[in-house]
Amino acid sequence: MKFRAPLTLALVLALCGAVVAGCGGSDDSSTADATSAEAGTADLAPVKQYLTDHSARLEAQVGLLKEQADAYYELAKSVDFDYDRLLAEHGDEVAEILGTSKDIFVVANPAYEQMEGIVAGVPRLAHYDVDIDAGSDASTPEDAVSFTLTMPDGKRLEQPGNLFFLTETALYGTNPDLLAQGVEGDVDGSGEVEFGEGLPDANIYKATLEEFDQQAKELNEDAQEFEPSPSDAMTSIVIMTPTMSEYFEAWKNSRFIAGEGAEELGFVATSRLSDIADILGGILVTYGGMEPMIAGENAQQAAQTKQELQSLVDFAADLRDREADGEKFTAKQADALGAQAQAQAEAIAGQVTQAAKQLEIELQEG
Amino acid sequence: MSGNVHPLWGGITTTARRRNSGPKAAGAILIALAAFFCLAASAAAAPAWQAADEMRSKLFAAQTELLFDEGGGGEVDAAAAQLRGPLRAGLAADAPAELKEIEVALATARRTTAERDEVALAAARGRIIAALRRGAMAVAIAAAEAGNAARAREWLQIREFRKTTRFTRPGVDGTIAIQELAEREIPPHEAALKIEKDLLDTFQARLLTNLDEAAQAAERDFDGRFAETAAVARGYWQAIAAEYAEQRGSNERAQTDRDFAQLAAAGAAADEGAFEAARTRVEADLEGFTAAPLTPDEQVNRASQFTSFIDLVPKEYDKGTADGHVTIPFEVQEAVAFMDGVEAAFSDLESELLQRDPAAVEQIETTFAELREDVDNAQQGKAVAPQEELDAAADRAQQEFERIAPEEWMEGGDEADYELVDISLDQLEAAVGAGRYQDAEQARLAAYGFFEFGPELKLRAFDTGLALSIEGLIWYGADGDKGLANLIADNAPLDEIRETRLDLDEGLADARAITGDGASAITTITNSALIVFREGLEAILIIAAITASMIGPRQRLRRPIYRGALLAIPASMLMFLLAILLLDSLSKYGEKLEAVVGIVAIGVLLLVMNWFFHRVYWTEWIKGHRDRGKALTGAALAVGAGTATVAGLYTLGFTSVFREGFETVLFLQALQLSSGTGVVVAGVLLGLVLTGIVGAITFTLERKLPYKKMLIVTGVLIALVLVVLVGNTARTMQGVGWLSIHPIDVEFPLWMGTWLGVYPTVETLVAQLAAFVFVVGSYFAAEWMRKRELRRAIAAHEASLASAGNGSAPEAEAEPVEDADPVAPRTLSRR
Repeated sequence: MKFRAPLTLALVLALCGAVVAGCGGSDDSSTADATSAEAGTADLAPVKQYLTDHSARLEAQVGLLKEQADAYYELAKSVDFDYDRLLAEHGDEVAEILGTSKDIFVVANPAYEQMEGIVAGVPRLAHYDVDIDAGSDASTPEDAVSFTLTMPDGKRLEQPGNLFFLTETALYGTNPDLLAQGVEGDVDGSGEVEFGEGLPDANIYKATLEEFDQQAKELNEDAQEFEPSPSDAMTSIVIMTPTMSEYFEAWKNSRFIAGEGAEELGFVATSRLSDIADILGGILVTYGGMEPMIAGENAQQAAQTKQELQSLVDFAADLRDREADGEKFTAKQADALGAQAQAQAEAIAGQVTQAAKQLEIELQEG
Repeated sequence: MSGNVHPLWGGITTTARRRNSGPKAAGAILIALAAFFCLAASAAAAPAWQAADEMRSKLFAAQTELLFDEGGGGEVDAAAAQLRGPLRAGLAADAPAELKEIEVALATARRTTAERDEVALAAARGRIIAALRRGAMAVAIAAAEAGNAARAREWLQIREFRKTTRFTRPGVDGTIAIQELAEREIPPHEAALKIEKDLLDTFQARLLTNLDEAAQAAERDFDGRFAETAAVARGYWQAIAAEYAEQRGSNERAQTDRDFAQLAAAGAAADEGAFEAARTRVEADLEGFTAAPLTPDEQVNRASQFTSFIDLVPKEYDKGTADGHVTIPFEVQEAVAFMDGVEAAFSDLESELLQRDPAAVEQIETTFAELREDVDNAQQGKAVAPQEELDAAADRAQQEFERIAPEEWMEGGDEADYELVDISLDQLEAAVGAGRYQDAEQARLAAYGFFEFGPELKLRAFDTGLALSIEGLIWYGADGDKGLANLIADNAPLDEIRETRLDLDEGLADARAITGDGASAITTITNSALIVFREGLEAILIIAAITASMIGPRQRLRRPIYRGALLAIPASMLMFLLAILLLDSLSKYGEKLEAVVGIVAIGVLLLVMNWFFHRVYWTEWIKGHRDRGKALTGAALAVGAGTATVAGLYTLGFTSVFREGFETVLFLQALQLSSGTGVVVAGVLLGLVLTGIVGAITFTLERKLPYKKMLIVTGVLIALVLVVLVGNTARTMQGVGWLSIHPIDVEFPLWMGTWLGVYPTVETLVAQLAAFVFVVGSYFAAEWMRKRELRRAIAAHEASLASAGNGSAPEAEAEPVEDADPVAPRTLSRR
């Protein structure tokens, strides 16, 4: 009797707590299942828009690069491809052309990388990725690009490697095979050839940008016609997300980490981290389009994948920003960071594979 | 005591109450508040998967901070804070050992962070990651056993996955099992077993991956990663240890436990030497062990892959090398790809085979090493081994495998054939990408060969339309897509080829599903009846066409044809048995055999047609073998129809039926393997009945037709049969590379190929046109010759009459006018 009032109050409060607990999460989350999600349909219109925005941007940027390459070629031709004369008589123009080209390149590159997750991940478009960004030269036939460069002088280069690689390593002077032979590429006239200075062979460079321009146009055309399906979207996520280890490996071997001892000739203009962050951004957009459908089947799984993918995107973006701010990473740090990203990426790919099976969405062969 | 009754709780509000219950009331309220907030806190606790993910993430953040010489302690505390709510409750209920290990490792993480020991922190994180996943597995399995699909699904979210590459995907068996459990399609225990199998397989695969990563990290002096991956490897070993003990015994398990403990300790101590020694021991311990053994179906598929691929390694090598040099690198790459497939398939079966015959397994692996060296050397341009060396090695490996493998593994399945089709199509795309369209065409023909004498046999019985569609996509087009043959001939760009390949992949996936699921009895009976009927109809047409005009004295000529046809039935079955017994794979020779038989059938049919239309030839031939002036009788005919003609007629009857019979038996064999003998026999009988009815009608009608009309009908039928036979045989010859392929840009419906042998290529259409022209030309030539003889006979007769009227001696006795058809009435006298 004495304690009835407070005890009753205690009981009431405890009951309220129990009600609240019952409404919240518990070890058995059967209530937090499919029914808690909203309509289970994919919305891939934003994915299409994202793709076409970037493909149009890439076409425009590559078009500008081609104009610069044509101008460079004409200059070189005017001196009968005597590159010493070219620098002596047209040094300022050459420096301006190449400088402008580099500026355009650092805009063109992310225009592609941000949609690479879709282009490379969708089998119908993946051949563009091989030719533009991922393909090797003829020494590795199964991964080699499909095109042959035909120079204005009639010479041919069969399956020389992907177009970004050819453009970047020519512009930044890291690939001797693409540079003007027998001349010091001291473009800025400083008296020495610094890292990042390169005097491209005008014939090869012109042929490269012609091919690149053609491919960018075709990619944009196909992108405009392309209607992504749930199968395309899921396939691209499953294919592209686990490739983080390759990208981090490339980052680790690039000059941003290894400096002068870099084995990687490419990724000199922009860090691979930028590419990684851009690619993941595109994947995130794609997943966003599929999320309602996945959530309709399994809300918890959809939430987990969204969380992990966002975390991975933020992780890569953070690293990119830190590097851009001047922070230097050691190989050990890069390795540890890359391994973590890879583990997360493979988990995401695994989760999406499960979701595809549950939704009976076919994952296409890569 | 005085007071009023409180309207809410009915208590009496009294001063005494207030005075005496103060502290105790406060205590009760505090208790209630505590209960309230505890429950509310529980409600706010994250789902188990989220807490687990957060724990791992926070621990990595702590590691990173140490890597970058920053703080770290706060992150470890944040990680530890996740071990509450549903995560803790679930582990406590079904994985208490793992919960304990996590708690201990978290304590270690705190301490090592404070000591700024990044390596020890990494090792602790590895232990926690592995323990979380082991614990989650236990909870998921327990939930499935209890029939709680939702709980199992949630805890399955805390799992590891097999490495995803462009060509391999993580397994989904556990996820599907939970789905089936939720829909009550499978019982709880079965679901639990499937989840366990999926996860054990993943743990074992990842254990090996972590061993490799640890070794790489050790080599590069990345101590933190070294320690972490070694710890994870040990933790994953603990997940499969119970299964290991079941298969190998507790003593062996204890030894392996010790080896893994030493491995983890070496990682924690950054001792590369000790790690390598321990690694060697654990790899030996795990040799031949499979935590998630293959199902019987999977074993059959792997065995089928092994036998198919090992056979192809020396073949592709042969195509790509000559005289000690690599001539076609593309073919050598195929040899490498098939060698990869051989090793992968064998690896999955190794544990079972080791139990049967370890010495044989070792011998096979030694042979693999030889083959691997040879193909790799050729691919890298280092050396080209003699072809005999590879042939012998492949034969040795195959014979040894077949000797030790269980009989049921040799039943074969379609999966290997589908993979061969896939591999060939991949090679096709690679070749197109490199601009090597000839290589692409070779790959296309290889893909077609694997399909036609593999899955297509069964598929036609299950879904003829799909089989035709797939064939169309590989050849000349179907369903609005240009076929690969057309595209390659046009040197189409890769993206166009890719479009068709994607549609082909869809068709092949449907085919896999259809034939994998099995067909109902009704479907099998119907389809096998249709196969028998269709093939039988072709044979009937030929026989009817040839025998239609064999009436009267020539009726006896029917007998050798019928006998030849009847002989073809057991011959078809015998040929099939011989092929199975003597040949490694029917698909190697089936199509070539079909082409040869087709050519023979055409040759004999042309001869018979020549004999049919050239009545003059027939007459001259008979004249050479009988007495002048005797009417052509059946007996004389029997004498005159010498052995050459009889042999020809036997051959005609035989080949007409054999060509159809061989193919029919192949289909029926494939059906019998998948659907059983009973339904197939029922379908065959039904088909034979239908064939018999049509045959009876055909033979009856041909007897009732007026002679001339019957001849016309017969002639037309023979022409039709010849044209169809020529079209199909030309197509078969294209398939084996004996005839070139020049597609035309016209789309024909698929049924025209099936029923009329009409395909859109120059070679097949020209051949058919030539056959048609030959038929028509033969008829008119025969008619012209007959009329010429008639004119000559008339002229001779008139000349003799004129001579008689002039009193001159008759020059010569007029030759009796012989009608080309010795049986038909002599129309000359009636004129």
